[in-house]
Amino acid sequence: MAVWQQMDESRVLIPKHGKMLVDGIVYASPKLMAGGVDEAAMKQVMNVATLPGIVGKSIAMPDIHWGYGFPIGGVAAFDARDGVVSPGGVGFDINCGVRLMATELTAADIKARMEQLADTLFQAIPTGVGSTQRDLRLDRSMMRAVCSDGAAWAVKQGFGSRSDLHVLEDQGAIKGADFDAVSDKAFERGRNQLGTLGSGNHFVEVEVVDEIFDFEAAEVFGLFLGQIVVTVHTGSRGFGHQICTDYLPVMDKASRQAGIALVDRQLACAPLNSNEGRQYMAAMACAANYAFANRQIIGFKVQESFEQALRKAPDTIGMRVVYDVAHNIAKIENHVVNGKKRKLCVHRKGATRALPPGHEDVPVRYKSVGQPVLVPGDMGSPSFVLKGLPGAADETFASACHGAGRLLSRAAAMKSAKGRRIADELAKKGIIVRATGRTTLAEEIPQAYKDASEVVEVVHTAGIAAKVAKMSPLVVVKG
Amino acid sequence: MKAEEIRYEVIEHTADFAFEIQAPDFHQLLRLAVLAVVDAGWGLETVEPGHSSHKFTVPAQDREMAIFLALSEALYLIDALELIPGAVKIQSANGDGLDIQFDCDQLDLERHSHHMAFKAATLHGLQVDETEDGLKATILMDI
Repeated sequence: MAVWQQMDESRVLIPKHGKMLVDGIVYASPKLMAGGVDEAAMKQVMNVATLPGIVGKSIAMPDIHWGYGFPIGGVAAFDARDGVVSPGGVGFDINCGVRLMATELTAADIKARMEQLADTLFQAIPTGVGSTQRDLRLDRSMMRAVCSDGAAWAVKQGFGSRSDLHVLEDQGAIKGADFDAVSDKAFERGRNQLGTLGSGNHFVEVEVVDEIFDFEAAEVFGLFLGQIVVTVHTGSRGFGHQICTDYLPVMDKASRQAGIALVDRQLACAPLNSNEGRQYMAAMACAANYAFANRQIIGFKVQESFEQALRKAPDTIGMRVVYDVAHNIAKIENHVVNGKKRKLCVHRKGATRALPPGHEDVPVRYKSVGQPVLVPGDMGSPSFVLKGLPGAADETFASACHGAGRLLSRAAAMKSAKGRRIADELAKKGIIVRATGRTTLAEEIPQAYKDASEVVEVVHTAGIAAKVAKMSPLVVVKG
Repeated sequence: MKAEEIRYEVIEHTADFAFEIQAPDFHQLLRLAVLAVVDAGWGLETVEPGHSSHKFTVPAQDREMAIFLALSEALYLIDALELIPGAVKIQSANGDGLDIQFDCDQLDLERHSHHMAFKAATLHGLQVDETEDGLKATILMDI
């Protein structure tokens, strides 16, 4: 018998039981739950609730699906003094995240040159597994600077402008990075992957804004109907993967030393105030900043590609960053819990920060409406921009959903795509696709994902983040 | 030389790649686990393990950790050094360890066709169980 219960139209409660220290809560509508509950993911919400020092609830967003350790879509906060940090609560792709860039162009401005734009983007941005930047091979001192300065390092090298930094989460560099906490292997994996997209569900997507839900917020974010925007989804590449890999055995040992009984070994963790915990946080920050630099470089290459393919001047294109946000991260943040201000380590694994209006970390220009929350859909369906609401601060440690969430396994997606011409199907919908991997399009078919509209509706109804705009894809570049 | 056929059973997983593998003893299990990942990722039949060798040691007592570390080493070689393990040799080391040697091929996109993009090995649900015929490992790879 299921141990969870639908509380209202957007919340499912998993009451504390067994080894759980707190309740679990999954933001999901009856419709999403009826579409197939991923029982393994629900179990992972319960597993996270067993970790020491957890505060509030073990939370999952409506795009929840089975991950490793934490579920994808998982959010959990731990007391900074007596709680833990777990690499399994961040994921291998540290600071996998999304950048949204706006232009002054409309769909009519690019219609005649969409094929050229797709080709130029595909050539300019290395994609696919093991993709590298042959002309950007970093030595140790450069890597140290990337890890410390993040997106600002990329700007210093000429990739974009300083004004971009004002609208990045933490200005594109989280504090506490220490390159000495990073292994030689991680350095080797990361040194020539900066400025590359990678594979899997990572993408660059040219989209058109086709629906506005909140005109006031859209105007503040600089979005308008018919506008061309670009979404970049990628992270810290092999550098982050290796850092997570390096620290799992360290944390496994630290868990045992701290007497923490793990219900899943991938939840290996260390007290935040231990040497292992501090070292992981320092290395994780390096990967997070590498990812911010990565998206900054790719964003610049997107801008160059627009100029080249559309034969338009930068001023005419008017490309600028709307926001850039991580959705695989652990951060020390202040939150009010039961009326008391507490310093917490918030893990977001496949969940996006969603700060409410007036929050000190919301960029000045967005302060009146709240942080832009970027929720990409799959390659055939719409993406969304939302705004953070006070409800997120109250209930979810200022977090919201990060995407549509997988519904089908890759094997099932491949089976469903067998015999189909996915690129042709998308072309009939007006979407041009370029992909490196021969199986990527099949694995990433729209049917493999939940309906992003339904996912977004849940957080909107729950009062965590409110819908601002919807964008539909025109050009998709995938690894 | 015809490549060894590696048998593994793929387990349905929403986002990642999970599989089970069986062998009569742990050395075989570890060897087959690495080759199964290479096979799923690149197709083992395309890998010619004569380019270079890579040696390392993993703990012998903790079987799950030994598998995790060996798979992680393979992914590091592929991603950072563009070397694909095509043969695996294992022997007990002095003390508490297993000496592992990967004989590798140089990644060549003309010959090697990429099937699956593994980011990392995971400890999630990783377990080695005893069976009537020997040992069985359940492994989840992050994609």
